[in-house]
Amino acid sequence: MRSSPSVSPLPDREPARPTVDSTLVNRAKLGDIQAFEVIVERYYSRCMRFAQGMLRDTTDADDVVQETFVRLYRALPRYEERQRFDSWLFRILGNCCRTANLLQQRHESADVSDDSVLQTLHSPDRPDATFDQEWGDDVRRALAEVPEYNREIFLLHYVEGFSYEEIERITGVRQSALKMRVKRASDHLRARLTRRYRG
Amino acid sequence: MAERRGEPGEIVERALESLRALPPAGTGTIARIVASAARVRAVDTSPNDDDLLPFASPRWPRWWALASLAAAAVIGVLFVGVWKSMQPRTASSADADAASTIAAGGARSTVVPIMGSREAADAAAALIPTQFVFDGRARRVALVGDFNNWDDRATPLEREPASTLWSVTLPIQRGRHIYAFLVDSTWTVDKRAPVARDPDFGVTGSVIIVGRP
Repeated sequence: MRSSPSVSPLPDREPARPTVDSTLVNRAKLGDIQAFEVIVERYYSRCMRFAQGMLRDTTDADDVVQETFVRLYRALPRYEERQRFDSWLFRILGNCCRTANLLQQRHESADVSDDSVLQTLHSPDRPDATFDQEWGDDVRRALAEVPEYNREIFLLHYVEGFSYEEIERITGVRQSALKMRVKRASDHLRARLTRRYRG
Repeated sequence: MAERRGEPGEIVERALESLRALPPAGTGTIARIVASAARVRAVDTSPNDDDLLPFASPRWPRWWALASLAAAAVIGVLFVGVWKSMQPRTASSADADAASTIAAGGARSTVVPIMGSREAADAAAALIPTQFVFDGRARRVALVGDFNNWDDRATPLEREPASTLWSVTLPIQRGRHIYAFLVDSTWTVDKRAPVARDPDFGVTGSVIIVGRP
């Protein structure tokens, strides 16, 4: 059974994260494809959520997540248990997302602005859009306007629940800079959404 | 909710609720990913360090990795150059250098002193292989000098096949020497070398300083 969409009634600073035990990882390192399948099942939804928030073109998220797991499987024999498995996975995923964004940026013609990318999201003016859907689209639209280097840290910290110490290990960025990036992303979201719903 | 410094604030927390919704895995998605990974790993077991190198992180962009490699290469080349300059040269490599010098200069006749090893140079009595070259038509050419007691049979030159170049290499002590060629028994000075009057025979001979850098 796959994970179904769920929304926490109160947002946690660090949501519960799925984990894998070392036995499962060691089996996958040795080439046990069933163990690897369990890992994919456990992390697929989180990876998709992160990729959808990161990518300029969210329709690429499925391909990027698949590429991430393929890279993960190839690199598994060199995985060292001293680092958290999900930190390692999101490091690969972050690299894949940045690469995809770069490629997407190159493929876009000069007269296509970022606004056109945002049009891939649902329009809030659609008559059949529910309020939740409209709100979700506005949130994603506002998030897409946040610079990539701030957005990635924001998602890792507030959505994926990584601590600043873990994000420093994932991205190589110092914690003081991480906190500043998260603050700037939060400020941008707050300004955009407040203007729309309270202005 | 009052927004505190460093806290996301109410409206951002509501946004986070939306962002935290987990997308479901589509039918067959997991199976497709697993099959793709298995296929790739089966055909490619080469390392994929892109995901693991520190250069892959934003803190170490790829241009920085390339710049580091280029700097390492330059340092390596400089190190090898300095190391080679400190190593003794072998006679064979010096011969090659001498031959190239002659060819490049087109000298009709010349003397090419060949530097010996550093250890040999440090020893005053060390012998240094020295090449003498004469260019001209002749039936027999010999080298005479103070280093072979002016013996006209001790050091004959050999002619290069199909050319007019004659040459011989012999070990000579460091220092100043007077010499000449005997071309078909005719005393001939080296046109490329300075000349001096020989105190032994009272004739003009060519001068060579062996062992001078």
